[in-house]
Amino acid sequence: MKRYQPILAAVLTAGAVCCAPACFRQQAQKAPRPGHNQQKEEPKMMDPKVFLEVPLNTFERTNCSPPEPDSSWRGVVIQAPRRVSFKRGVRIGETKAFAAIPICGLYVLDVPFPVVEDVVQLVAQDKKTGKIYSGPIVELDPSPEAPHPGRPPLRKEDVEGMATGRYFNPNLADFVKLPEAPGIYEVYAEVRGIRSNVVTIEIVEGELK
Amino acid sequence: MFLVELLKAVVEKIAQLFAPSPPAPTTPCPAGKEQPKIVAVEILDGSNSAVLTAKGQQYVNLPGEDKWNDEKLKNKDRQTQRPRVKVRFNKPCSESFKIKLEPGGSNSTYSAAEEARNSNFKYEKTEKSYTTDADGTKIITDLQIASAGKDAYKYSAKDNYGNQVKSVELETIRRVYIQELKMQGASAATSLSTFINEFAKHGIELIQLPSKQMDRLDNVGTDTGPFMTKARAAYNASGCSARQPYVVAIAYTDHLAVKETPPAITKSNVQVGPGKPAVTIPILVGGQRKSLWKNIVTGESWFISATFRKNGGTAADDVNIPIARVTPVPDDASVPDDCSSVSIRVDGLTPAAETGTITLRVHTVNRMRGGLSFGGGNLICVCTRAWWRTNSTASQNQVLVHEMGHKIGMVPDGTSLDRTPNQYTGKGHVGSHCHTGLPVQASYSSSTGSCVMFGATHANPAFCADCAKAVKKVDISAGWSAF
Repeated sequence: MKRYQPILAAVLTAGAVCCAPACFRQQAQKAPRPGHNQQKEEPKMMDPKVFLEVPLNTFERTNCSPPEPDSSWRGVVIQAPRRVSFKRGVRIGETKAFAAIPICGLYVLDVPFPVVEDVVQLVAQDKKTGKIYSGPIVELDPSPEAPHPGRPPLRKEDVEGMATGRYFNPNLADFVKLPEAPGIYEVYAEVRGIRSNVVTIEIVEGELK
Repeated sequence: MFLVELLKAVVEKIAQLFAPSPPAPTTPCPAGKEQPKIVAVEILDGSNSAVLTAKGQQYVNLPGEDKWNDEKLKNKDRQTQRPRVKVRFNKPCSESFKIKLEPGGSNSTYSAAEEARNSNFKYEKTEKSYTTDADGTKIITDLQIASAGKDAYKYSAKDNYGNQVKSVELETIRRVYIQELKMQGASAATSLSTFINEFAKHGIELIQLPSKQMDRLDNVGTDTGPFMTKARAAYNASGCSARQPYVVAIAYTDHLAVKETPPAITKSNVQVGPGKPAVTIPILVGGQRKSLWKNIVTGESWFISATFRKNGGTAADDVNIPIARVTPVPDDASVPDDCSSVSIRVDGLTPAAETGTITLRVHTVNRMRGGLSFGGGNLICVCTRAWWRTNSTASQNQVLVHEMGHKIGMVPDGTSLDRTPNQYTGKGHVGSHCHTGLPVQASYSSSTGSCVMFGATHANPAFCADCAKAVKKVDISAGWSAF
């Protein structure tokens, strides 16, 4: 089973899913440029059911991922359902999160030298109180990792002119300690100081209508 | 009328069958004659007359059933936390006496909080009084010893006239059965001696059952369903279910690799065309070097696509770079499948020399696991290959000790046993682990601790001193449900 997928599906299909997504249209959207990332995105038509398919806390392209940008694009971009719901007492996944709030994103950035491991920081601001919640995406696989035995070091000329990135599909509630309560949040991701677009997610209690 | 009488008779018979057995007859010792004297306190060993004559072992996690007996564990008296003890007097009459447990000096100690969380952590600390039956003997069945392993106890009993007797010593031990499920084609550990010996040191006896072969899977990724199906089939066919709930299955797998397909990797200002040298591109994902998904699963390629676009060009100008021009470069020539860069032959890619950007799309290895954690249930999974290299028997044993440690409740976080001093959760590793050998850190993901319960695999298969104490103390009497 893909991690969380059955749980997410169970939670969301029980009428508890997203409505119109605060996201980009899959086929037509042109990925934003770095200078345009922090604008609030207009909701576009996207079947909210695609969020049911998201294998949470993976680093892979999903049907909910933003479209892959042109090779010259650099930046961070996310998509998310506009509304999600939770049921009190129901817990999800490794961290026993109170809700499944998929954030599907990708980033592509120039490779610095020396090469440093990227950290994707998730930030959610409560629209009502202004309170900011944040946390980094970390690996939640409980299985012990087998470290690589070692690789030859990279030289500056090896990475010059390179750009790379990642897809990411965290459950926001796993990494950002949001209160277990209804609320509306403006959410973005940040990598190496580069912010993504902002999406608005409403968390409601009980089943969505 | 006859039927009514018959019914009454049946009811009476049933009532007799289920009536509590009457107390053993007592006969007070006659006064004025020689005082009755306590002559022995003995640990029963298989019957009311057979006793231990030398130090014995008590399997405190087993429930007291004949089905667990074997050549070493000869009878059910050597099971449970309440060994049967017999006190004998020299006269066949009823006489009161006192008895208490004498714990060994190096027994595990439990805090009051621990004892409050689990009554199996307690041993009977108070001196208790009993009276012998009419035959001058008494069999005692309610003196509890603790659930820990490697504890020692003696029974000390005294009569009312200053005579005291002691039993032989009992040493506590726990037993777990190991059912190996060896995946076809995987290089399973040739010996489990390190694993078995490490637990034996802390009072857990691991009994290997005959291994069973399981069907092959090239790799187990994030979808563990197919693996579980094959492991369960082998488990059910092994016949080890008779040992439930005290059996733990060990499934050996090939790679436990997780695939990642990142966005395109690009390299700009690349020169291509006649006579131009090959371009090497390291596989970098999220700032980490990654290996290509090469020969992990039969039929799955690492390559998706590669293109070249000259500077100022558009999609219409893109030049396809076929896989024949893209060669994976191994980090170590002796491990040809472990490649974290590619060399792209660009000589002649375009008719004339051009400068532009190569866009490369590949499948990569996100990470490899040394084992799989399944939470509850009785399955441990050990990887026999990581990074295209066969894991040695020593490293597989290290993983086994670690995973079995989790099965028995390591590392304590205070919910059952008290938290051990260097226990941590999160901080780069999922689950409860031990950072002995390292200072407190925000993240342990790039470090290596010295305890086998550190959150990443390393060379040491031994528990640190603190974890060793906890391994001795854990209560595994509930066993595990089948996965």
